[in-house]
Amino acid sequence: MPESSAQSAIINDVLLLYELSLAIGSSLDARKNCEGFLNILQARKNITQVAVWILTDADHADGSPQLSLLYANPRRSTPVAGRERTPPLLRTMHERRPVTISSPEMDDERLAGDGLFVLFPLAEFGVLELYFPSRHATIPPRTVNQLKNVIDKFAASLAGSLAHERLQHTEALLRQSENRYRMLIENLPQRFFIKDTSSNFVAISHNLASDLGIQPDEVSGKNDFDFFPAELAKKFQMDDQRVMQQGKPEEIEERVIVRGEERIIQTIKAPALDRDGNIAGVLGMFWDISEQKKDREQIARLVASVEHAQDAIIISDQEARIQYVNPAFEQMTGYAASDAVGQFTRILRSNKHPEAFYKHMLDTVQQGNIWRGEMIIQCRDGSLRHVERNIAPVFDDAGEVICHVTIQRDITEHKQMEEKFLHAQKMESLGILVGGVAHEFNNALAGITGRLYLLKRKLTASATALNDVEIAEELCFRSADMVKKMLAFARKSPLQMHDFDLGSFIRETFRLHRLSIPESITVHTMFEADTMVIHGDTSQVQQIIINLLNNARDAVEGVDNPEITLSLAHFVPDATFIQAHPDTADRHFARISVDDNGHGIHPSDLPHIFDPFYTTKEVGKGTGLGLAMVYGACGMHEGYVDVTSQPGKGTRMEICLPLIDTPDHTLESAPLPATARGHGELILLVDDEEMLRETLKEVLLSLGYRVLEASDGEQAMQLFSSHHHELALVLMDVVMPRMGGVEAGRLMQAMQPDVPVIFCTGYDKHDVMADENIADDMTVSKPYNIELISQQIARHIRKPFTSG
Amino acid sequence: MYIASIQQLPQAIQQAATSYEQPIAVIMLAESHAGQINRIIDELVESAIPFIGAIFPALIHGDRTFTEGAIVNVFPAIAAPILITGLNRDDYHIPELLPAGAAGTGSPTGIILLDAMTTHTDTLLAGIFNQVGNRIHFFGGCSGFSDLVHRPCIFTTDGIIRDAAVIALTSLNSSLSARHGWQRLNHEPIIATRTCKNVVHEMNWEPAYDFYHTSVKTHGESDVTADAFYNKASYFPLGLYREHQEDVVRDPLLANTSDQSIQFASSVPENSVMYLLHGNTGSLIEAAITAVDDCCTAAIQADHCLIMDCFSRTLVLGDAFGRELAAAGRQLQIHGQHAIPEGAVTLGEISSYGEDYLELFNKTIVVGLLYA
Repeated sequence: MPESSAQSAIINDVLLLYELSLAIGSSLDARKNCEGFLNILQARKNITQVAVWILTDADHADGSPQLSLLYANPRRSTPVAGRERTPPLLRTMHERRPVTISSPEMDDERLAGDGLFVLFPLAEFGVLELYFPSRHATIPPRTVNQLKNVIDKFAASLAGSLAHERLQHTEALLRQSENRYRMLIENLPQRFFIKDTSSNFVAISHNLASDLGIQPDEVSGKNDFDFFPAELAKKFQMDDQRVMQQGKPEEIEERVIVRGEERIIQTIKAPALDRDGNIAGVLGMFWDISEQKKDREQIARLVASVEHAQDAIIISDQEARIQYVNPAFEQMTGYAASDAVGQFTRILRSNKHPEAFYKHMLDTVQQGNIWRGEMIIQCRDGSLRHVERNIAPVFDDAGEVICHVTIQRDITEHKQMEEKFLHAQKMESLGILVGGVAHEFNNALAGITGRLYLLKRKLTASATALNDVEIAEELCFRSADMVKKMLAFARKSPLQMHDFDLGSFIRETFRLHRLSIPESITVHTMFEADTMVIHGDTSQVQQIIINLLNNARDAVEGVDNPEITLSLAHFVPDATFIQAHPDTADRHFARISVDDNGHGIHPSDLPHIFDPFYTTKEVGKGTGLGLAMVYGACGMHEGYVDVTSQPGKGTRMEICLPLIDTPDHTLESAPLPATARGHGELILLVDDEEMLRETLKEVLLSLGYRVLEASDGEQAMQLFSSHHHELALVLMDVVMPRMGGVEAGRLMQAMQPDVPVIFCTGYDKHDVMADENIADDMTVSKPYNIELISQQIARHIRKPFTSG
Repeated sequence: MYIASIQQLPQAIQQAATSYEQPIAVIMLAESHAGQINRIIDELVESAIPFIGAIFPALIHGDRTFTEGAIVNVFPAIAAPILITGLNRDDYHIPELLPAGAAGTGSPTGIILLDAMTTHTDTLLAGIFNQVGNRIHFFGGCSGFSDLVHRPCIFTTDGIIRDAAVIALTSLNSSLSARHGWQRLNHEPIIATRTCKNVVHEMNWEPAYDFYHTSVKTHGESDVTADAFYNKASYFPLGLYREHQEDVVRDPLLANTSDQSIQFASSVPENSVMYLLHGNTGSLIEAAITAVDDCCTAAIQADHCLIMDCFSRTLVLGDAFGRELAAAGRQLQIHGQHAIPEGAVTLGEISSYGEDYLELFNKTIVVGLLYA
C-alpha cells in the first residue's frame, strides 16, 4: 500500500514519540529515569549531548537561583552550572518555553562543532539541555513542539522521581537516625524496654532479651509475670503504673536475687508519650550497680577516713599546688580548706630548716619517690608546729605522677614531752649524784656538829674559844643547810609529812620572813581566805616560800619602784596547765605565786634555772641551790613549779601543791624547837658509824639519859634481849651492815612492843622505809637537830617503871 | 598490513613499531589460529611492544578476505592498552579512558575490539560515550567465531579471555562512516513491545517469532523457519528507526520456538520502532561506496584505512563480497587515498558515526580513515 512521504513522516514522528513516551518513567531513580528516556532520545534523534539541570535548595551569593547538574550524557565534571550557562537556563525556566541557542552562546568547551542547543523547561524545577551537532543548521519548530510534549511528560515523571528520591533520602535519614539510636541502645550495657499502658512489653533490647532467654521479637504481648517471680513482677507493674500516673521519670533502686546472688539494680522509668503527648506506656532502662555501689561505698569510706583522720592530709599537683586538704589540716594549721586550695604547699614553710633541706624534699617527690621526715611548719597565725611528714606520689595507669599525697602528723606535744623527759632524766641523774655526795657529807657534818655541841659545854670558861666553836658550829649548820637543799633537790630529804592549812602557814612564814626583805621593796600579799589543806613537810614548804621571796628580792635590786607580790589561791587546772602537766586533770591545787618587776630571766637561762649550782647571781650571793631545792621539794609534794619571765619586766614563779579533801581534819601546828631533858632513862643507840654513834651518845648522856651502844642490828638485838625490860627507847640507824634497822626494829617490837623505836636516817624515809608502816614522828633526819631530837625522845620515851 | 605467516608476526610488529616513540599494535587474527594463540601471545610479549588483539572469522586486506594470518596495524599511542573485563556481569567497570592531559590533543581515536557474544555490548558503548562523548572517535568491531559459539576471543599480554573489550588509544585523527545499504521492505512499523537486552519476545504485542515469520512471509515472500533460521533470517534483518539517517540494523540470529522469542546480534530497546529490511547485492555494494565517500570529506591522505564488514554480509553477498571490497578500494583511489583498506569480517561493527552517538551496528560496513 503506497503512502505519501508526509504520511510516512507523521507515522515516524508518532512512533518515535510513542517510543519516547514509553521510555519515560523507566525507573524511580531520577538518574536512571533520565538515562532511560534520554538514551532513546539521543539514539533516535542523533543528539550527541544531553543534560538535565535542576534547581538547588541553595541560591548563589547574589540571591540568584542555583542549578545543579542531575544527569548528563556524556557526563561532565562540573556539577554546578557555570555562571555563563546559568542565564540561558534560567531564561528558559522563566519563559516556560523551549529556547534554541547557538553553541558559542553556551560557551561549552567540550563541544568542538557549531551545533545548536535546545533548552526545554522541566516544569518549574529544571531545564533539559539538548545539543544537536553542527549539521543541524536549525531545529524545525515542529520538531521542538513534538519534543516539548514528550519532555513535559518526562518532566512530570522526573518530578515524581525526584520527590521519590527526596522521600527515600528522608527515609534513609530516618533509618540512619533509627540505626544510630538502635546502635546506641544495642551497644550500651544497659537493658532497655518499652511497655504499653497495661505493662505488657512492646519491645526490648537484645541484651535484655538474651537475659530473659528469648529473641527480642518474642517479647510482644508478654509481661513481667512471664519472666519474674510474682511478687517482683507485681512490684515492677506497680512502678509502671505510678510512673504513668505521675507523668514524670523516676529512678528506682531495688535489690533482686540473680542466680542466687543479691544484686542492686538501678532502674529509670519514664512515661512514653505518643505524638499527641498522651501517655502510651512506659520506657525503661536498668543496669546492675552492685559493683558501682560497692565502689561508691568504698570511696565513701575512704573519704570518711580522710575527712576524719587525725593527721593532716594534703593532695597537691605536680607543681605543689594544693588541691585538697582535710579538716585535720584546717585544725592543725589554721588554714581553711577554701583558703588553702589553690595555694602552694610552701605556705607552711617555716624556714626553720636550711634551704637544702627543702630542696631535697622537693627533688625527692618530683622524681616520683617518697619523702619522709620531721620538720617544723608555720601555721596561719605564725605559730610553729613540729610535724612528721610523709609525701607520696600518686601514679596514673601510664606511670605518670598525677599528684602527691602528704600526710603530716603533729608531734609538737610529743616533742615537748620528749624535752621534758630528757630534762627530767637530767635532773634525776643530777639528783643521784647530788644525793650520794650529800649523804656522805651529811654524816660528817652530824659528827662535827655533835662534837661542837659538847665542846661548847666544856668551854664555858673561855669566851674566845667558845666564840670560835660557835662560828665553826654556825658554818657547819650552813653546810648542813646546803646539804639539806641538795637532798631536797634530789628528793632525798627526810620528810615529816602531815596535813596542814597552807593559808595560815604561808601567812606566818611571810610574817617571819618579811623582815629579811628591805622596806624599800613594796611587798603585796594576796591570800585567799579559804582553808587550803595540803599534805606536806612544813619545813620544806617554808624553804620554798623563803627561796622564792629571796630570789624575787634579789631580782628587783636596782630597779625603780621594786615590787614583789606573794599570793595564794585555789587553782583548778585549765587546758593550758593540763596540756603542760597532763596528770593534773580533775585535781585541785593551792597555787603560790611570787611576782616581781625585776630584771627578769634571759631566755637562754630559763632552761637551766632549776639545775643545782646554776646561778646568775654574783659570786658569794647565791649557791645555785635555791631553785633546785624548790624544784625537788615540789616534786616530793607531787606539785609543780612553773616560771614565766620577760627580761626587763619581771618574773612570775608559780608553785602548785595538791590540795587534799579533809574538811574535818585536825590540823597540826608547827612544833616549837626547845631542848627536852631526860631522867636517867636507858636508851639503846644503834649506828654503824662509830664517830656519829659516839657523838650522839655524848649528847644523850648530856641530856640526862643512860646509853647502851650497838654497831648493827644483830648486836642491837642481843642487847635488847637482855635489857628490854629496862629500856625506855631505841634510837637506831636504818641502813646498817648484817642487820638493818627496820628488821631489827620489827623484832624488837615483837619482843617488847611498848619500847618505842625511833629510826635515824640521812636518806628520805620513803626511799629506805617505803614499805614500812612507820609514823613520821618515829623517824629523825641526819644531821641531828639536837633540840628537835630531844623533843622527839621526850614525846615517845617509855616512862620509868614504878614498882608496886 | 597482512601477515600471512603467524611466525613472522612479532618481527613485523617490531619493524612497524620503529616509526613511533610510543607504539601500540592492533592485531586482528584469523580464527584458524585460535589454537596457537597462547604461543603467539608469548612471542608478542617477548617483543615488548604494547598490543591489543582479537580473533575474527576472516580478515580483509584490499579486495580479498583471508581465513588465515593476521592484520596488524601499529599506531602512535597516547595511553597503555585498556582492558575492560567482566562484561557478562552487571558490575563491570570502565576505567578512566582519557589520561590526564590528553584532553588537549585534538580528537584521538580509539580502536575497540569487543567480544561479540558477551552480554553488555550496547551498555558498554553507552558507558564509554557517557564518559568521553565524542571527544574520542571510536572505531572497531565485535570479535568471535563464525560458528557463533562463545569462546575467548580477546587477547592482551595477560592472555586470551572472553567477556572483555580492549581499546587502543591513538593520537591519530579519524574520519569514520557506517553504511549498510539495507532497505525497508515495507512501511509498516514494527514495535518491539517486549524485549530483554538482545532477545525480543513480542513485536506489535504478538509473539516475536510468529510475527516475524508472518511479516517475512508476507512482505519478503520467504518462509523463515526456526531450523536453519539464520540462513534465511540474515536476508531479512530489522532496522531501528533513526531520524535523518539509515536505520540501525539488528540481525536476527536465533529463533526460540518454545517461547516464540528471537535473539538478535545486539540489543533491541523495548518499545523501539523497527522496520523489516531487505537487501540486494547492488544496494549493499553501493553502501560500501557511500561509506567511503562519507569518510573522504577532507583532502587528507590517510595513513591507515580500516574496514569492518559484517560477517552476515559475507553470507548475503556470497561471492559478491569481494566485489564490495573492490568497490570500496576503487572508491578510495577515486578520492586519492593510497592506503589499502584492511580489517576484519566482524560479528558487529562499532563506530562513533562522526560527531554522532556511538553505536553498535549489525550487517554494516564501517570505514575509518586514520591520519596524523
